[in-house]
Amino acid sequence: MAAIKGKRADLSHMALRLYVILAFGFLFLPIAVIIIFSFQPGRYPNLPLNEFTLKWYGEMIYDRVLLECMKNSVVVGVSVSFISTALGFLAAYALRSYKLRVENLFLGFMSGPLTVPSLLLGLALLIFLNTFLSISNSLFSVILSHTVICAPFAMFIVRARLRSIDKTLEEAAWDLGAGTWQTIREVILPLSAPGLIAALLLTFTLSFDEFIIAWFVSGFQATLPVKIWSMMRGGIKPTINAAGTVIFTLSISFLVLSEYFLRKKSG
Amino acid sequence: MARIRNFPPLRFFVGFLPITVWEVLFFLFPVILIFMVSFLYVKELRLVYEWTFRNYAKIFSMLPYWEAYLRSFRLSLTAVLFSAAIGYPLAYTIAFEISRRYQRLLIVAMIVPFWTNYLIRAYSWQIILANSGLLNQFLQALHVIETPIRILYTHNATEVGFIYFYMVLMTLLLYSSMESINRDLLEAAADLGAKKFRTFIEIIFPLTYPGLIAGSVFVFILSFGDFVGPSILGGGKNPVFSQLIVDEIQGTVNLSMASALAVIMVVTIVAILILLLRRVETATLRKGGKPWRQ
Amino acid sequence: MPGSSPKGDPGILKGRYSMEDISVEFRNVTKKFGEIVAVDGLSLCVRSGRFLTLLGPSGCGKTTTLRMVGGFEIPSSGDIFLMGEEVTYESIAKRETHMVFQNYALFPHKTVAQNIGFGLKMQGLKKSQIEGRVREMLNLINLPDIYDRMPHQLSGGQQQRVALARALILKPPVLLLDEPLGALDAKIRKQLQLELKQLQKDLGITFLYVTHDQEEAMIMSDIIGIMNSGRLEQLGTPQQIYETPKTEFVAGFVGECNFFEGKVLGSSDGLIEIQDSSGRILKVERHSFDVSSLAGRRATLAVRPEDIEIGETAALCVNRLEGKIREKLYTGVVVRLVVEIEDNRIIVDLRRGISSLPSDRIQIGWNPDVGSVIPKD
Repeated sequence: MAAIKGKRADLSHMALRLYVILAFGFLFLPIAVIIIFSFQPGRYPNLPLNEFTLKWYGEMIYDRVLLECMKNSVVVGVSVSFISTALGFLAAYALRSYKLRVENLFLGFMSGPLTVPSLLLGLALLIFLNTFLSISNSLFSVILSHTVICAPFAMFIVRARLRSIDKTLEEAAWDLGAGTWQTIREVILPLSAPGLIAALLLTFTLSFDEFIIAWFVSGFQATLPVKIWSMMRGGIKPTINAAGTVIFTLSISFLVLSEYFLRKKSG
Repeated sequence: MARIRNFPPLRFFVGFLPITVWEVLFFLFPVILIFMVSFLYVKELRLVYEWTFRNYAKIFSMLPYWEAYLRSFRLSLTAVLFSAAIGYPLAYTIAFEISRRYQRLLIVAMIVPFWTNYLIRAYSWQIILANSGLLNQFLQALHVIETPIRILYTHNATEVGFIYFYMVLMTLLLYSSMESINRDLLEAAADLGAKKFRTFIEIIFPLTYPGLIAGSVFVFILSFGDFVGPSILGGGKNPVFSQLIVDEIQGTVNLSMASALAVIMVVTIVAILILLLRRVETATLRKGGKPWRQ
Repeated sequence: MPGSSPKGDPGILKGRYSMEDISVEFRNVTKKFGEIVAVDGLSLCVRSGRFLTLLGPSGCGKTTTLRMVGGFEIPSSGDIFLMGEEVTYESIAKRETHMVFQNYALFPHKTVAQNIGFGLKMQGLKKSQIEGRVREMLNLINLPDIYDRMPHQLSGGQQQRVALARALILKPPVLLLDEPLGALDAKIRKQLQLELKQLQKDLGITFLYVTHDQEEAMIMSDIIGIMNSGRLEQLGTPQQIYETPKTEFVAGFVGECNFFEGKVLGSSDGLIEIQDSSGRILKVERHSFDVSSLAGRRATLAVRPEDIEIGETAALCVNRLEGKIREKLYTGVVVRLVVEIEDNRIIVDLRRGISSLPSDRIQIGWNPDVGSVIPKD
């Protein structure tokens, strides 16, 4: 009886594991497709596979407009990540140091931008910035808008990280005469550095990949996703595969890096 | 020298104020603005500052708007169902059949595609699902079909897209509520003779109810508000609600119409949130009281 | 008095405060956390240069009291004075006291030298000045070679000393120590207890120490304050605490104690007479209580196990009781008998080497010069 039971358990165990493999295959399929066909010569993706080639990458590098948009995305991404992480850090530290009576309200409010669909946020910001404040659409608007989402995000990441810093370390610093800023500089920042770096990396990718808000408010200074959208409107273009592969590599490596930093222990 | 005890020092404000100001200014105000603008109207591409219901009147009176709304609703509901169906076994396996060490690895691996560019992935599905795309090529090569299956630019493609893009969210939320189940409960069940499937039905499923609700809420909200997926995969013939909003922005540039539509979307989302999140509360309370059914 | 340890010249820290100052004073201090009263109406004076230990079980409020001195908690009511100045609401950084934390709280990302020199850096001293004083300090704690090490590379005992050095380098008039030896092995702990005691004597500054280990408190302190549920039960020298406890809690908390409950009859020939429930009269010498105020009141007679005799010696004592031996325990230091007398379990500690013990019934006794009276309520 026990033997049969064991076999049945093994069978279900194997079936489930197979299921997981299939599911992951499904998840990575589109990514694999993009990467593989970025190296394929044909204009349209065809099976079976042909020889590998780099010609689409070459075309991509000579596409001035595409590179310009890539630059725009980087500028926006870097700005957004630094501003968001700074705002998020300040709030996370304040949360840790003071018992806010309306803490749940505050956290709920901060979760708002992360739960509202970006379509709505994009529209809202378009109306607010462009129509009401008469700020013409540009990268500046994009930076303002992306920070709305990224700052709370950074706050949650840093907050989790700050939790692992012992309160007595701060008390010791105060006891030895350190003021608030000195304590932050000497104790909090070094110990939360991995969390801050992770926040920078993740908010960068969040901004870098964001499309719809940028589409609404970027005006003539298109970011990379906006450019890719217009390329896609024009039909199947293999350069998209090449650009996509580059973007994928960037996002994935940032994600893995940030995971590394988040795993590091703080003393 | 006694200080005023309860008034927080300057640095309290330096911490909370910047982000709060930013969010109030660039999140709260704009959202409130949408509500207000929805009651204005647009003439010759300019906003007229007169209160009016005409946008809403137009929306509620014309069939295409209802059709698009119901289409979105139906697609999102289906997405929730499918991602729950796909996510449960996935979350279950990772939570209970895989050693702790690899769990985190698998979770991160699952997040990786989730974190890459949405547009590119949607484009990839375009390549795969097109009439002359990879899927049809593959099936035809195996002689499973003779003529290509039409998936792209139908709602089925949008559905596949939704499931693909949001199943990870559902799985993660299910996983986290599964992870927090006290393992002792499972051992007790096994001890009392329950086999795997029974244990799942009697114990695990009820206890993951909060995760299921949360996952459903998020999948619904995100897919309901999704524009890119339906546009790229579903085509423009029978638009979904989000496409209508974008049409008013990029097409006719009628910001007040767009706002009215957006308000309807917000109301729908908030209604879903309130309805379902209240169920999460009662579900978690019940979790504490009755671990298994009588 | 010259230090007997070869650690280096402790004179670098001596001589800032005169011996007759009150260094720490609590005036009716209460601390509440929500509904919970952690410290209840505490009034206390600590003379300068003393080693004072707050002793009590977990949750008695001793750590909270210590933290209020350092500024880590603010009293709900009452005032705190340091060297005569009111500091009740003063910020942590501004107070001149410094703390040695229970978990040492060494900055894990800084070297030993950077840890010890941290306070000086905050004062704005130059690197060259800091280095000299840090090395001096390392010599004082007898660890000159760990200048560049990181905290995680040190043993528990070493970390503890670094934490100590980090606080002492700032020459505080009062040093606060929050169960600093709690995490260490018994052997190192005993060694450090003596070292800390010697250090305090050499430096001449006030040590305010918190522990739940009564043996530690007895060994190290000049004065012990026993706390229970937020209140100070008794303040006195180790000898006073041990030999003349003022409450049953104090008697029972420090060492073992036997309690005989009864009513005070009065006094005769300088001895107080207490009658217990079975009518027996026990006699004890007057210590500090005014007998007239005790007459007729209910009281407990507390007698230490080591003060009780057995056998022939017992027969010669003024107070004699008979009972059955329930248990015989060998603790290494003493032979401990648990004797049952009418529902009361009496503990008797005898020196090792007692030749023969009766197996069943036994007579125990003690003279009026041992034991103390603790009035009820």
